[in-house]
Amino acid sequence: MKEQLLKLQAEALAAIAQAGDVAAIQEMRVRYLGKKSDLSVALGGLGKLPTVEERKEMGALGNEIKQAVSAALDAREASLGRAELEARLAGEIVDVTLPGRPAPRGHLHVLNQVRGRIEEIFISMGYAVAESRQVETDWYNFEALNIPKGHPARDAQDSFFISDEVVLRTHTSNTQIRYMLEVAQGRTPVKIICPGRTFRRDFEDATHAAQFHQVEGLVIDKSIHMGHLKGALTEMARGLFGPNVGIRLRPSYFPFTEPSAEMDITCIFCGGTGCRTCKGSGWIEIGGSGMVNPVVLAHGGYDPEQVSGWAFGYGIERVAMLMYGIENIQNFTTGDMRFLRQF
Amino acid sequence: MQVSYNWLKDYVDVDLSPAELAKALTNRGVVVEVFANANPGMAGVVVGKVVEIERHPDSDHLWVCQVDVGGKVLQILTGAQNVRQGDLVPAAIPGSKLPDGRTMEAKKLRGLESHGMLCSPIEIGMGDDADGILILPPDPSLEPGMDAAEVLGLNDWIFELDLTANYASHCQAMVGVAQEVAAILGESVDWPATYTEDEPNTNANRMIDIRIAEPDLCSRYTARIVRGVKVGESPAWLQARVRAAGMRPINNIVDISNFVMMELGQPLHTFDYARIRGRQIIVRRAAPGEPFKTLDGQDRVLDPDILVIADGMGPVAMAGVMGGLESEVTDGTTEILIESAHFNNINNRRTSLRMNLPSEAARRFTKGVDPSGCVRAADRAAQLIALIAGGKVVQGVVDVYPRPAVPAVIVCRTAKVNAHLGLQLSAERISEHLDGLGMIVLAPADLARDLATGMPEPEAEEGDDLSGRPVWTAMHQVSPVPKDAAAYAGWAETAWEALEAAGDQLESLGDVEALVVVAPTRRLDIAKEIDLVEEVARSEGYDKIPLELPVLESRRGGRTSLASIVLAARQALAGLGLDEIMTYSLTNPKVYDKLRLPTESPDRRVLTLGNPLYEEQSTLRTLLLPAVLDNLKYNANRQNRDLGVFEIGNVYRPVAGEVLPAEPRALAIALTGNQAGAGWNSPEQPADFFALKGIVEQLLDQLDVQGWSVGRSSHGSFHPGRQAELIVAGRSVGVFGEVHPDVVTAWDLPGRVYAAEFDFDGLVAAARPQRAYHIVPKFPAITRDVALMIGETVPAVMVAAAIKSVGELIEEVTLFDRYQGEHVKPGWVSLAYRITYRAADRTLTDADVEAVHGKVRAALQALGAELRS
Repeated sequence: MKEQLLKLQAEALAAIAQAGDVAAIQEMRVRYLGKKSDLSVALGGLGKLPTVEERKEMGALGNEIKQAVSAALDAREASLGRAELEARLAGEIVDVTLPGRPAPRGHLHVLNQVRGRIEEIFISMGYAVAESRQVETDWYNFEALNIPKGHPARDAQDSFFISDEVVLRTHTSNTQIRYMLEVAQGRTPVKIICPGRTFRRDFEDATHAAQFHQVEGLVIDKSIHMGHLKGALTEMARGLFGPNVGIRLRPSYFPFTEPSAEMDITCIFCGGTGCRTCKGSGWIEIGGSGMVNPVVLAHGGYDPEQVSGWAFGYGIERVAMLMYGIENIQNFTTGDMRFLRQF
Repeated sequence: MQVSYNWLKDYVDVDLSPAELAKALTNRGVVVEVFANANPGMAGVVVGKVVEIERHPDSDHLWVCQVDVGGKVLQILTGAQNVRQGDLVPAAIPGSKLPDGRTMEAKKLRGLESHGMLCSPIEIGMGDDADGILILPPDPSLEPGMDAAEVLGLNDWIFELDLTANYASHCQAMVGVAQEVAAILGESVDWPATYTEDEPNTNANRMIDIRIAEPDLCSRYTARIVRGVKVGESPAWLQARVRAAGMRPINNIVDISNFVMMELGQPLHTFDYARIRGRQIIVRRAAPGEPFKTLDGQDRVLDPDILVIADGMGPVAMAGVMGGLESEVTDGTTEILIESAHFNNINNRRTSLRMNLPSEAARRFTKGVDPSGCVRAADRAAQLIALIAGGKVVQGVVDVYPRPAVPAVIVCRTAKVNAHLGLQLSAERISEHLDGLGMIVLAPADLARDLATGMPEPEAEEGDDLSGRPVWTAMHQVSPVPKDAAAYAGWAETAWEALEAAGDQLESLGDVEALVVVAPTRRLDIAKEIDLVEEVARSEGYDKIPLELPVLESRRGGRTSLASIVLAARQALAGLGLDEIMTYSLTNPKVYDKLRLPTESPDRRVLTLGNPLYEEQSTLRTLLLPAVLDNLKYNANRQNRDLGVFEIGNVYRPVAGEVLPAEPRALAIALTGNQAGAGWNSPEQPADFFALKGIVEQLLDQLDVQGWSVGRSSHGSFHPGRQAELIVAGRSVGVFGEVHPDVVTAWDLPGRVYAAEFDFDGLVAAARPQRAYHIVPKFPAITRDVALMIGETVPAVMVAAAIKSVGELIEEVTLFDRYQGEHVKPGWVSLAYRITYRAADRTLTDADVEAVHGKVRAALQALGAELRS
């Protein structure tokens, strides 16, 4: 029996060494080690051996042979497998410069992206975002903002009207009044920004649109002063245009604020040294601002003797145009995919 | 407002360069938009006197002039036909330079030497008149050889002011701008003297009877009369001033009116006194249909909205807008009536706009004019007329002043100023700034003295001792006070009321540090404490205001939940591959026909603008879809036919019984052409109904909208067989599907379009603010497939519902195959579903599943299905 076992071992090891691929090894594993293999059959006859010693000896030898064959199979399988993997990898080369499979990708409108950035800056400073209506009564759009009928400021803001008493809002300031009266109702602090769509009866060109978007800010509390306006505007400008941007206020006039100021930011094209865009001044005008006129506070239900406030407003289109160097305000509404898909 | 740098120097000593001055004014809020050298580039051109003129012997149009150019006589040829012997003209002598860059030299014209050229206005950069030589006025102060640029007032700088509404009134006068300059420099303003030599024998009040019928529209009307006047050309200095103000010299009377208007800000009108019928003037509303011929020769029809100046017979002027032809000053006029009045700005603006008659005068009345200045301006004009046009000023000023303007008396608390500006200015510093602007600053104790002393007797006259009344005295000093006794009495009454009101206010404020400020009436923008805060701010400089952040009670900021949902929806749709567009809220009402909407459709009920710019933008949209289709068309025209777009925006719907419309948000989606971009290794995926529906489903899932379903619909804008309405919480929120071919044709689109229009607010009404969590299953699932055939009219959703209705253990039902054709009966469809079974508390056995699956099969058979597996 011993000879038979050793012969089986030699035969198996020789065959394994000759095996050509992983599939042959797997077949040999069954043939040499499986339940019906010669080895298993031979070992199954152990019980017929006459002595316990012989049975022990042959059993041990059988196990040795099983292990040797199994080890040889594993080693041969590993080496063949590695070679096969390497051969496969060598044949699997892609041209990495070919374009990828197109995955669907849409784009948020650039104006909404910019509006979102502005909102995030103010939200991070604890401002609430307030919105209101676009078709508005004369009172909310003009009267409450200290622009009575016949006021010359109405000329500068030529409005579309639906009737004598109803206009398309010319600024988002109506939201300030509605927020004061409908939401805050006399409570302080008021700390909001009001983004939204506005309308002016302007013939359109590269910088004028009959429909555009504004964001305004309003803060009301005890002891609010113009320095706070400067502080908030500086934070806003730096959030939008980077840490090196400063702001400048220049005396101006708006009926709803007093004192009023034009707000300029450091020219983002030259960094303030003077260039063609800023006409050499180092500053770019961005919007209007000022201390809320006591008349407006009173219309909003606040006592100007007790509280004060500041407000600002500017065009979102204007900011987007500055930010990206967009040359024509019409691009925002035209909806040309060659424009919209850039952002 | 156009301001001459040299002219300013008549009123204040300016020692700043034009550039420095422009910057300093702008920093104060008096914005200098442009400043430019008045001389367009002329040098060495002199005043020449034509001493002899004769025709060129070899030309039928040239003239040969002997011109005295100061110390010598040069022969200069000209082709102009308006030169006469004795005329003074600008002579560009050899070596002189012209604005077009030419340097003059002597040359021969038709054989005769010409030593330079006589200049027309266009050649020296003064307007576009090329017809004739510029003839200088026969002014005795002009001598041959003088620098023509100097004589024409071109050695000057011109500032173009862009005035804000609050400064527009006082800065539309040279003296007002001078006050701002004086404040910069710490100087004071030299007001022009208005000494008049009166003709003693009569009085204007006996020569004209003036009545104001509409005191609300005309708060003051003053008049002066000058007799023995000779209308003619103005002297060179006056012409130069008029030109510097951007106007053309006309004649001495018109030029003086314009000069005084520029200097003092008060528009004047001059009448030929002899042609005022009935020796009376009535300021009244025009009668309906009243005819009137304005001095531009136009026949106009008036109405009661228009304020007129009428004489005994009819209108002689539209107040503050334009005079009449009948009473116009002509070359033959010898008696001038100067009108210096104050008209209501709103009425004036309306008339000027309606009649399309913008003028310097109308512009000034629109922005506001100081009523106190009327007499001063009339005096100044009378003085200049007498000086320049000859004649005698008739004694007396007619002054009808029903609504007297009095200086504002304002209590200004230093703490309030500082609290608004974030500064710590002393009362002295604040006083200094206000004083620099021509106000008088006093102390509360001064006001107390006034009040203790009481109002002077009405018969007190100018020059009387006003001591003991410092505020009252200041009110007399900051602005001119009426001289006419009746007018003064009215003024004094109103003024004392203002003074007393300030006293009451001071008392109510209690013990605070305050100033009592008397502001001149020419500062129409100053009436309240806050107005003074602004004056202090701009005088101190906005750059002095510190940069701080307020410390406020900490409150949560952020967006409203609806705004957050809008943002989430936008991001979701962009994430699904759609491009966001933002279209016009204004739209063409014709789009509803193109959309095949029935006439009774509520979408046709639109808000219409009263003053649209174009018909295409004359109504407010009720739907987004038309503009979205416009967008597809725009891009298709630019070779971009593979599109997926969306918009979330407001639409506007009138609400019965309400003044204001509803402004709900809408969502529109449109797909056309290939969706995922086809590539070398990916097939084209043309848009279809299910691509659109997939997007809608994904959106609803991302927003976690609860309880939605779709049903068949019959909207005229969509393909009858390929459209569905979306139902959320039992309410239809809109339709989606293939756009009707007629609509596609109406928009001239190149291919099929799939679109949706939803009421966004309705769609998100059932959005769950927070997702519900389900425990992750612990036990494995078992799947079983079932294939069946069923009539094609049975909606797939019913088959799935029949399966789900079995309920127990069924976790998910997925349709994985749908087939019609060979091996399927006509009119039938083959469907294959994969059903996932799972129990929450144990591993299912095959036997468990078989029991339920048997019920599923039975349910399908009950629905009329034939099972295939």
